[in-house]
Order: sequence, then structure tokens, then C-alpha cells
Amino acid sequence: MNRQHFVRRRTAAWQRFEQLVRRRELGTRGKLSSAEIGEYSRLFRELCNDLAVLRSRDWGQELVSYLNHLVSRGHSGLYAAPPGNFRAVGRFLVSGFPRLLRANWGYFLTASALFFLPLAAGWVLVQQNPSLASRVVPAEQLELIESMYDRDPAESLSQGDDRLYMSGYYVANNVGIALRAFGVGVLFGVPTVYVLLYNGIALGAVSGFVIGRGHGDSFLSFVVSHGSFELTAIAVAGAAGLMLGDALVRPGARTRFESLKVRGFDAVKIAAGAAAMLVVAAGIEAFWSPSGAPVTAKYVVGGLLWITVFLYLGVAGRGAGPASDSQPPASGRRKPAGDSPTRKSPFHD
Amino acid sequence: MSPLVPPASAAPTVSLDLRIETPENVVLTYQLAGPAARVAAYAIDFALRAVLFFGVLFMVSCSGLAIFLPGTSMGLVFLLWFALQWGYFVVCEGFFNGTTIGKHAFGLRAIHERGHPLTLWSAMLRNLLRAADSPPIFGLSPMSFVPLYGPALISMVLSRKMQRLGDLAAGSVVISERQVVLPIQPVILERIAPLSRDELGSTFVPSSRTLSLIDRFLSRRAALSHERGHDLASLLARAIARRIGFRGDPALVEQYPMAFLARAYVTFTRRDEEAEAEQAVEPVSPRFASLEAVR
Repeated sequence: MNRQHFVRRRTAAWQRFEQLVRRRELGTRGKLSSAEIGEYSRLFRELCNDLAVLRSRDWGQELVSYLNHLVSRGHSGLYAAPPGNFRAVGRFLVSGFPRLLRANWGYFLTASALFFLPLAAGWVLVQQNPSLASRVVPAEQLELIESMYDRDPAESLSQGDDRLYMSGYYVANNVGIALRAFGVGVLFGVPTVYVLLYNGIALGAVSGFVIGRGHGDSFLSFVVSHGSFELTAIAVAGAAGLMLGDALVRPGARTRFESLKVRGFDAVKIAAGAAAMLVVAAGIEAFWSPSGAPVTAKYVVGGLLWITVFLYLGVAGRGAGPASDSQPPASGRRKPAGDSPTRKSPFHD
Repeated sequence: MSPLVPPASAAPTVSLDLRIETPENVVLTYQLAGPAARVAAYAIDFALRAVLFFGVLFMVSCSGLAIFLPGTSMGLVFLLWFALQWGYFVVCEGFFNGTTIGKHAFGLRAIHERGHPLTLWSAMLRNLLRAADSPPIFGLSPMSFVPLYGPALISMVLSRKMQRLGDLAAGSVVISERQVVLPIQPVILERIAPLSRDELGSTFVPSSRTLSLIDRFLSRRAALSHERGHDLASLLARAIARRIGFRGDPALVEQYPMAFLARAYVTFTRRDEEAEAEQAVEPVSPRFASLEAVR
């Protein structure tokens, strides 16, 4: 057998396979019939064999490149993940996300401590001594914030148009902050810790300042509703960032990069859940929180929303199989049995 | 360079090739994309998003929407900003098989390091980690608008597969794809007469590697100038003429070395094919045509 001979005999199959691959790459427009799928799979194996033959002979790089390219296109067609759908997104938000977060509860607890403790400390300290606030937040900003809650509530009622503006702003700003807090976590978690501490202290200082100046009701009734989703989601995003950092700092039995790959997928899912929570929070913050409803109603609804968040994160999706079942094929092999979700808690080993 | 596959345990070398062994036990090679191409692709994506954002901003502020519903229009602009900043790469790579417009322009594609396409989650992971790959530089206010991918570059230089931090976490690589076409056969060998037996002075038969070298040389001769091709062919033609004890017209070797090579090639490969045709047997598995061709 020589090269010419080989090429002559195989070209038809290669060209046919190229046709099928091209149609598959078109997606639904080039849908293959079941017979064609069988042909695709058979031709793919044939081409793998051809490529192995070519690599074992010295028949020129162009031919190898050609077949390599064709086989790799065929390969990515054959091993592609099934396309996602809206039901999967819904399932993820309803049960997958809270379960995944519970499986990694240690990170969530750590992130909450890093965020809520400085918030509480800042709040208490500044409320007792409002002049401390200017050490954290510039004085001009504090005045601006104070003036927001200074007005008569009926006066500050925003129109529907303003609310759309604010909802857009809250999505862009808050979700951006949360995603950034997650992403920078890969730098050994240090920037995530910083973001959590900083935001906790700043929010605490502002809260303490506004309440210390005597705008307690107008402030608390405003923040209580959206705070439920917003503050929790920041801790959730921080938890996801800490997961990335911890995967590098304490890789366990894996190499650091391997550990990052395995735990990164759980982390990004948790971050996506946090982003979804923040979108909900933006809606509440723009439409319900500034509404003209009586203060009592706002407290009641706010309390219910906090309970909702606790129930959602604590109970939703209980008792339906392991949490990281939705592991994509991209992470390669299944996790070894030793890596049960509880092992991932930072308080365990 | 030899296309022979070195064993997997070979010492790591500096190479842009990524080798992946598929479940079919065949090794696929991908060419990893270097920082230059990736920066250029990013620049296109960046410019596109900037143009889109400011274009929409301009249109919104000129249209009636900004006058009657100033809040709504600004809210939409904020959402667009967010979508372009965080969603653009995720959606492009997640739904268009690892390419963005900029990547497409430079023939780049992000794939999983085991060769299969990115999933939506891995596209999300590798792109959300841009936050770590391009941390904001505080204090340089005009520059902080343009993301500086310092950590990404360091990570790409240090990692074996040119991965930035997001790639390391998502297990993805960016490859450079060239559209390759089946090499055509410019020489019609059927029309070339083999050397006659009288012209052969020895029983020497060139190895199949030598014959394959001739074949490849002839198929690529258009890539060389006539003189250069002639010179190179002369070297091989003289050596072969000596080994096979060529007794024909020496002018053929000296003046038309390419023609001589073609005739020598035809002489020995046609012999092979005739021998093969005599031995031709029914293929064992007619469905697996690839094996048949190798036989």
C-alpha cells in the first residue's frame, strides 16, 4: 500500500464524513436522520483508524493535519454535552442550587461570618458614635445617604420610570460585585475575604450612621425587604469565592489545579445562584422597598422574605439524591467516593 | 519533523501542540493559541462591545425614549452594560461552541482540555474568572477602563497549556484552528511511463519511505521556484540513479530530475500495486472499509 493508493481509496469516505460533520455543526438546521447518525459513528471510527495509519507512516504532514482536523471536528460532535434547556435551569434554581450550597455549608458559614460580623460590629459602634462613620465612608457620601432617608416618605415616592432605572442599576452593580467577589476568589481567596470584610464594615457603618442620626424607621423599613435576598446573596457569592481559594490552598489528595477543576464547577454554580438571588433582590429593591406602603406592612413583608430565604436555602430540594449530581461531563471523571460533600467543609479536616 | 507519535511518557518539551487521546485510542493534536492571537481576538471583542454599548447609548439618548421615559432608558442601558460585561463571553462561548466574534475572526476556539466542546457551566467558570485574570488597577483611572490581563499573561506563560486562570479552573484551552483541505494530487502519475527493465542495473528497490518522500516532493513542487525545485530534485535523483544502477539516458537525470523521480516512483509503486492486485482477497469485514484500504 502506498500513499496515493490509500488516498484514492479513502477520499470518498473522508468527503462523506466531512459532509455529515458540517451538517451536524449546523445544529437543528442540518439534523441527521438516524441512519445518518449510524453512518456518522461508523465513519468516525473508520477515520480514527485512517488517522492512526497515517501517523504510523511518513506520508506527509498535510494529510495528517487534514484528517486530524476532520477527526477532531467529528470528536467534538460525538462527545458534545446535551444542550441545556429551560427546565434544567428551573430545576437548578428550585432545588440544585440550595442543595449544593448546603453541601458546602462550611464555606457559607465562613463567608457569612466574614460579612455579617463586621456588619454588626460596624453598626453597633457607629450607632453609638456616628462620627466614626466618616472613617469608612467619605463624609459627602454620608450626607447624601442621610438626605435620602431624611425626607418625608410620601415625598420620596419614586415613579415607575425611576424604579426601572434603579432596577437596572441594581442588577448591573450588585450582581457585578457578587460575580467579581466570586471570580477573584481564585487568587487563594484573599480578595474575596477583603471584599466581604470591606462591604460588611461599610454597610454596617452606613446603617449605624443613618439610624444614629434618627432615621431608624425610614431606613430599616426600606432595607428590610430586599436585604433578605441581597445580603444573603453576597455571603453566598463570597462562599463560592472561598471555595475556589480553598481548592488551591488545601487541595487534599489532588494536585492544586486538579482540585480547582473539580471544585470550581460547584463553586460557579453557587455563584450563579447568588446572581439569580441578586436579580430578585434588585426587583424588590426597585419596586417594593421605595413604595408607599405603610411601614408596618414593609416590616411584615420583609420578615416573610427573610423566612423565605431561610426556607429556600435551608429546605428546598431536600431528599432527592446527591447534590452535585448535575456535574457536567466537562469535569471528566466522577469524584472518588472519599470526596463526599461533607469533606468539603472547611471545618471538617 | 516526524509524524511518528512519541510515547506519552516523553519528556515535556516546549510545544504549541496539545495532544489528546480519544476513547477510540487515536491521538488528536490541537494547536494551542498563543497570547498574541488571544489578545488580538480580545481587542476585537472589546471594540465590538464598546461600539455596541455607545451606539445604543447614543440611540437611546437621541430617541424619544430618553425624553418620555428617562429612567427606563437608563435602566436598559445599565442592563446592557451588565450583559456585555458579564454575559457576552459566557453566552458566545456557551452557545457557539467556544467561539466569540473576535475568536472566530482569528480562528480561535475554547474547548475542554480533553477535546470535547465547552459546556455552559465551563464557559461561565472560565469567563467569570476574568475578574481575577484582569484585576482592576486602582489609581490609574483612565487605564482601569481597559482591562489589563496581567495575571492571565503570567499564568499563560507558566502553565503548560497556555491557560489563564479561568482556563485552569474550567479545564479549558484555547486552540487555533486552521481550515484544512484535502491535499490535491497535482501529478497525474497514470500517464507517466515506468522505467524499463533494461534501464535498471541492480535489483535495489527503494524503501517505501523514499518513495513516499518522492511523492510528497512532487505533490508540493509548486511551492518551490523552478530552479530551487530542480536543484533539490537533482540531489535525490542522482542518489537514486546510482543505487538502482540507472543505465538509461544520463541527461534525463541531469536535466529533468523531477521527471526522472516521477518515473522511478511509478516504476516501483506500480510493481507494488500489481503484486497487491494478485493477492487481492475478500475483505474480512466489508463494513469496516478503512481496514480494507490498509490491507
